[in-house]
Amino acid sequence: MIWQNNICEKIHTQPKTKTCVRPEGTQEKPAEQNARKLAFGGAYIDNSQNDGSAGESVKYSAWLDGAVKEYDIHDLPNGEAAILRDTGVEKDIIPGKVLLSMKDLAMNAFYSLDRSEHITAEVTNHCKENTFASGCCFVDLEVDMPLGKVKINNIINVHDSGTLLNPKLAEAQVHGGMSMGIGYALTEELLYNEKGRPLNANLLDFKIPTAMDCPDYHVEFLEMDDPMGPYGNKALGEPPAIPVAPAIRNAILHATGVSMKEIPMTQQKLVAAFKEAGLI
Amino acid sequence: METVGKSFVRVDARGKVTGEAKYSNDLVPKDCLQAKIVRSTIANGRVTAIDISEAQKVPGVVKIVTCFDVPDIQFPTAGHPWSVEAAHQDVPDRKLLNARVRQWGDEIAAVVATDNVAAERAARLVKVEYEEYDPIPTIEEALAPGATPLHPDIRKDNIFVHTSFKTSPNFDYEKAKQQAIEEYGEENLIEVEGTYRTPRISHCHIEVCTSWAYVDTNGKVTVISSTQIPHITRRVISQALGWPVGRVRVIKPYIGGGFGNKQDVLQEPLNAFLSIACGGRCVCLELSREECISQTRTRHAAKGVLRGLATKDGKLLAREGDIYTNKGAYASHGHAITAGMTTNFKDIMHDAYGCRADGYSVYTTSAVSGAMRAYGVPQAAFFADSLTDDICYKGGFDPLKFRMENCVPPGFVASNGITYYSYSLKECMKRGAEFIHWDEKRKEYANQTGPVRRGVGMGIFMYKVGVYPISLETSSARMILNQDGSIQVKLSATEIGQGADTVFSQMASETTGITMDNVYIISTQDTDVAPFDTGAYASRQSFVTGKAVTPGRGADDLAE
Repeated sequence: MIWQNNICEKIHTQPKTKTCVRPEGTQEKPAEQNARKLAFGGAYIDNSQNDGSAGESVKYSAWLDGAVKEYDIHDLPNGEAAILRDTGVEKDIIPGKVLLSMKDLAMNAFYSLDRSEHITAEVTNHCKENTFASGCCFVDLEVDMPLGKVKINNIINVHDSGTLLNPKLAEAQVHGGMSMGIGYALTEELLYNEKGRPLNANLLDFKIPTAMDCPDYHVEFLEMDDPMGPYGNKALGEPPAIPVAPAIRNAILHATGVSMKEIPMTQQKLVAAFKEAGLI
Repeated sequence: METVGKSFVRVDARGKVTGEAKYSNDLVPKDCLQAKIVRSTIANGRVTAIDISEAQKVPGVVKIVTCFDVPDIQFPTAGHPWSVEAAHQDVPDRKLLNARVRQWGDEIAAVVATDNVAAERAARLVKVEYEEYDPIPTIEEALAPGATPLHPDIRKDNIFVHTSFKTSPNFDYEKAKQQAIEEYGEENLIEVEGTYRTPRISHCHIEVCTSWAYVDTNGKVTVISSTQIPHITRRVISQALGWPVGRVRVIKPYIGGGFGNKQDVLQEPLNAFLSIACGGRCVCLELSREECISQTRTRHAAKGVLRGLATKDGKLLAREGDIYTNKGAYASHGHAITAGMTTNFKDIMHDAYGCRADGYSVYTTSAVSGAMRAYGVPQAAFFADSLTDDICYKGGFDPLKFRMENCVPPGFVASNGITYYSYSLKECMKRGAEFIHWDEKRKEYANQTGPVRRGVGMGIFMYKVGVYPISLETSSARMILNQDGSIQVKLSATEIGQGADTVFSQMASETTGITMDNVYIISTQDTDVAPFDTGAYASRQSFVTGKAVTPGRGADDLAE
């Protein structure tokens, strides 16, 4: 049932297969995962009906005739058996044994004299699941009040984004977001004159952080498998940019007691606020 | 897991590092014409006449089109899946070129020439006469009595949409406050109110917005564009031109960043129109950096008029907020971002009595606001977290403890049914606090004097991963076997620098058992052959599109 509407259905063997005979060139699967992750297009031994030894009820599946089919090994129609027979599959069936390489399977599929077929698979998935990701930013900073200058001494984002698919890529994604968050907090704003004409639509005057403005970014993840994600994963693309500006704003409040109501907290705005508060 | 969860090097690393990877403008044919947009020099008004006679004399000029030459068709630009229900469709409020000018730099004509210099010179020689109205670039000016409605055919005033969300239908902040006074006594309550503001900003992706278009021998207008959303761009070009979708083809090569700006259909429909106007010749329309910053899309500037009520021992009782967003001259993503902003403000904290959050999207004569990384939630987080810390400051609460006790709880279910399944927000807070030495630093920095002072601060957020149940997210995938047993993987959720191609390859490898070196992901999307997917946006590709290359999880798993 979990395979319905899935791309693998077309090119894989039946989902109830418990033990796969692994095509060469594919990775070995831990046994408990076989029900979910079957090898591509190859031939499989299904011993779900018995204790795992080869025998009368052993079945195999193959891509033959353009559809995934399952046959009892003793009832192989001659035609369908031919490919497997060439590889010696009929004998010495051992779960986990390589029956034929992906290359041999593909070559047979492409060039079989009587049933060649280009194996492709396509699926349209409807995502009817959703969940929430979350996280936080902590910052330790220094405010030079007469200059209105903020220096970030230490900063960390911690993310609740489910299982990570690629930890290094995930970390890089967070670095970029934190940099955006710093620009949002301190310097970036598109300005207009009274006629409605943009004043700073260029990278000289619209101030995004440069490498010189970026502190070392610390990133951690608290990974939990989310039941909704395809591999327990959930959102990480956008979130890193979210909590940084409020964290900086709140650290300035902690440092000075001044509640900034507006970002970006540019040097001019901070100096004005500190003056108003009688701090400088 | 064999492949998923491992830090594979990006599949596009080599091409991008060496400069071999081809982006849209690397592929422009030699004889391609160049286009330049003529932009208004007023922010609000109407073009009454355009004189192109001088511009046409510039050597190299091939064609000049004006707002009086384009089809009388209004179209939407949002990178949303099209809704089959009219009430949920994006608002069509602009033409290819507009005589009614609604922002400084609005697109009123375009010049096509043999080269950029000629196109720019001619564009400067186009003479325009206007009927001018007062600019209304801010939320306050656009809402002031007597302000010109910018889209009178769509809305009677400049409020595009107003929505109201409450934790329960009967919640009322004033009543909650009365109840709190009776229950706790006025002297035991803390109330904070304030108006908080966030700025309009630009995405600043490295690759500018660019495309080139030609009419192919089969009659299809073909647009090669730096877009996050090739299939949506195709549909919108068809709507803008009044051409059947099958006669439009969009190709997306590598793209140098988007951050949501390219989750909108930008110059592509005009580019297609200019090629058609030049007899199908190839025309390139590359926007300058200045145009990208002020004339494409921006993050909504927002204003939050907020109030919050807590007890003196640190229990959050009630909040309310009226949140106004500056949506600029055109609808773009409509009210979706503002609605997300208000619900997120409401949901991130748990108010014992409840919370109300109203959102107003306001048309103004300024740059159009659209999608940008995190889609309204940076504003929501600034509002919610600033209010939280202002309450803590006034009440003398520790902001970490206050959040631990009053933030969104595990198992939270939003009003539209989205459930917070795996939850480690509080663990994240604990870990962040440990790293920054929160308790020690809060004490150490408590009583500083002098001009230089130090502080520690925190912010939290929650973010819904996909769009369902607001719309159904559809992703298609195709796998194609090669003779050597390797496969191509074809998707239309685009690689925009976020690493999608790499993690899709990992998931395809994990699912099929075929090793990573035998998985070839096709990074270029061509709508004539790429399976349908609405593209790269939200934080959803590895979640939504990932399911198209991965055994079903989620609802199906739970059902078992």
